[in-house]
Amino acid sequence: MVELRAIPETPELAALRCELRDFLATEITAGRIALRNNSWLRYDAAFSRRCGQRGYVGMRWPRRYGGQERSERERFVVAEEMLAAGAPVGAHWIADRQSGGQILRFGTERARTELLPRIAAGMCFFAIGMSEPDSGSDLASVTTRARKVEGGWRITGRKVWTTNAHNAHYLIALVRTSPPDPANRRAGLTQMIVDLTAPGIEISPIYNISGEREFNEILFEDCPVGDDMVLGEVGSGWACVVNELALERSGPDRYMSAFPLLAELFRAQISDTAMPPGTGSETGRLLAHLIALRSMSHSVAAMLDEGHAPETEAALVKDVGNAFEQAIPESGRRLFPLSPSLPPPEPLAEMLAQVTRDAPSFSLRGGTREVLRGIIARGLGLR
Amino acid sequence: MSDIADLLREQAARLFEREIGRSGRSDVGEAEIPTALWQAIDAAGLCDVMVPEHADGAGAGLPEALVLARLTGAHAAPVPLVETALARWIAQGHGLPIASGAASLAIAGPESAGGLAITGIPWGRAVGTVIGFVEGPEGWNILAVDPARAAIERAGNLAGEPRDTLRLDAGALADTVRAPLDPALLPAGPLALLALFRAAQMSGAMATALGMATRYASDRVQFGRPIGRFQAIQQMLAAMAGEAAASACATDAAGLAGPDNAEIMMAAAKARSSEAAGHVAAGAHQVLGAIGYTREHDLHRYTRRLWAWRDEAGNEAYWQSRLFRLVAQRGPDLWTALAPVSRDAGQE
Ligand SMILES: Cc1cc2nc3c(=O)[nH]c(=O)nc-3n(C[C@H](O)[C@H](O)[C@H](O)COP(=O)(O)OP(=O)(O)OC[C@H]3O[C@@H](n4cnc5c(N)ncnc54)[C@H](O)[C@@H]3O)c2cc1C
Repeated sequence: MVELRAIPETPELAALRCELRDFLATEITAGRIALRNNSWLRYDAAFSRRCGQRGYVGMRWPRRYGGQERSERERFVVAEEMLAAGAPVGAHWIADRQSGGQILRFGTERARTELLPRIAAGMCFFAIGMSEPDSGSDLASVTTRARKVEGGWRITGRKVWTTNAHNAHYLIALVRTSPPDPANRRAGLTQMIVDLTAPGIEISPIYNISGEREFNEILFEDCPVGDDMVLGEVGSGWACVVNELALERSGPDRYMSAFPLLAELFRAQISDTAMPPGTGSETGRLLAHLIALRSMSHSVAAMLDEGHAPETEAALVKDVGNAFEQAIPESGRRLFPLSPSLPPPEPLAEMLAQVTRDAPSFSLRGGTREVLRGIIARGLGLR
Repeated sequence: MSDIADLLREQAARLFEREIGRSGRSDVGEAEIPTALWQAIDAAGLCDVMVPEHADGAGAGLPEALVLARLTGAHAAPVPLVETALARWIAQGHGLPIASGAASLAIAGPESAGGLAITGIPWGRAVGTVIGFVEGPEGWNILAVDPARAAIERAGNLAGEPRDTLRLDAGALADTVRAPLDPALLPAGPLALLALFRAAQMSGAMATALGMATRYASDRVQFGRPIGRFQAIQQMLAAMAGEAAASACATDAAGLAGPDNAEIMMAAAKARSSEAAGHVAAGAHQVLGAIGYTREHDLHRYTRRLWAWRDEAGNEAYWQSRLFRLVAQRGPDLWTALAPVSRDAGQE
């Protein structure tokens, strides 16, 4: 059963917020970063490098792997501040959020020492290799397979929707290492770290509905992976991937994707003296949702710090958070009778256009709404 | 959560389970305070949780009192416990007299030469003192009203809970003791405080309605299997769980807010909870089918209260607008308005 409990923000966390605000203000004043909605998909390697130098990547990891041994709640604060500003954190986001944690927990010592310090330095980027053309929500049905060879494996198959694969150095792939077992569909899967510069890999773009190169298709043809790049026991990939998905789901990126639009709506609304009275409730509703979500997500971060594995709670935060993100452009168009348009006649119309087009992906990526609700239903004891 | 909160939760939960099972459930009119239940509550000291220790209370803070409020909602306790606890705390903190036994509180209409009317008083007919909040030119005043000096008109909310009107004539009003509201005690003002406690009660009632619907979905068999196996039912219950969790977290967070942030957080708690209440009540009735629509079934104890409470002390539209205005007062930058930090926080 789901029981999330709010917890207060400590003075240390508040001090960290101040530090982040100063850092981001400097970046913005210097014109070094472009601010966007959905900013955790925006690739900017130089910015990620600066984040790494300041210790904002891999914060929770042990110092010997380049981390800061800080808490999940501190990571939560950094994530919130970055996303509130619309900072382009896309290059390091996936490695910081999930791949690094996977390597720390399931990786070999060699993988840890070789990769984690580079990730924490903001110099090594990852992609997620789960989905395939015929395996979306039903992830256990993946058919990309790895064949055992001397000292390692050879991967053959195809992954799709791989966000930022064209900019990433590595991919964590979920592959079949033994033939499907009809009695246990989840057996025989393994996660492996694939070097995207290895031979036998072909990455081609898939353009999203805005025409942006957001994700990719990857073809593997006998692509080599060393034994020391396997995560966990061979055949235990399902347990690994479930852990990775839980890391993916409860953070501020699941309710802050459209925050810059909300902030712009707010700004426009309070400076528009012609706004009819009563329209405050439309935006006020979104503010109430955001305040509740911040408390929910913060409380999941605290559960992680206490060593719990809040799979149901993470699914719940993502489900509620995605619905909130998707409501922002809908409220925006009710408040301002402007047609969303590109290129920019004014920033609000442009943002509205961007977020309207991004919004369908919010409740698909990282597990669809229906799949998340299935997980919650399991947490309620119904499945 | 603190140890006091845990203790309180356990003690109160046990008491409600025992006593409401025994007396409260048969009391369908819900218009009188069930004597045995009330005596048990008073004997356990629950009405004094917020009163400071030096005045023989438990000295609990807002977070602990909200735990208690959530439990009254979770058990649909047909008693003015939240009202009595708040009234005693406010009376004590303002040096106002309060009769022993049940008490209540409400926002009063403006004072006039003819006297004063206070409407929507929870359990007004059954209490010894009503704490009334009157807004005057210099801010809020708090009155300790003796219902015996007033004319009472009985009314009820849609859950059947008493919501009465007291009318004081000029003479009774002149005799009523009053004190200016102390902002150190009620930084967000009276309405936001009442709203927060209703929000906490709603979060409790939502948890129970969700639990009832979930259990029913596991037990009720149609087409040869429990209806909870059908995905449509699962999705509905999962969405209800999200709404209930949002209400609970928003309420908790408001209890933890500092004085500068209190009204914003309380506004968010009531706005979010009132919105969630409608979804959870509707979902629970959908899952429980016809049996849940009967007077005999317990579900209505929770859903009717949800429908009543979401409109009391300001509905979501009111608090959404208010929240917008409060945040707007902090300036055009939304993020620093919502997540304010004091620059010397680190040096504390
Ligand atoms: C912007 C974006 C970025 C992405 N990035 C990555 C990435 O980097 N790496 C990666 O591996 N994947 C990525 N994905 C893929 C994502 O994980 C999948 O889209 C998602 O898991 C759903 O799979 P699908 O799209 O094949 O839809 P399907 O699984 O085919 O689902 C289609 C519809 O059917 C519903 N459905 C499916 N099964 C059920 C069921 N059992 N019960 C009820 N309804 C069901 C779904 O909810 C959905 O509404 C990304 C997707 C998007 C949109």
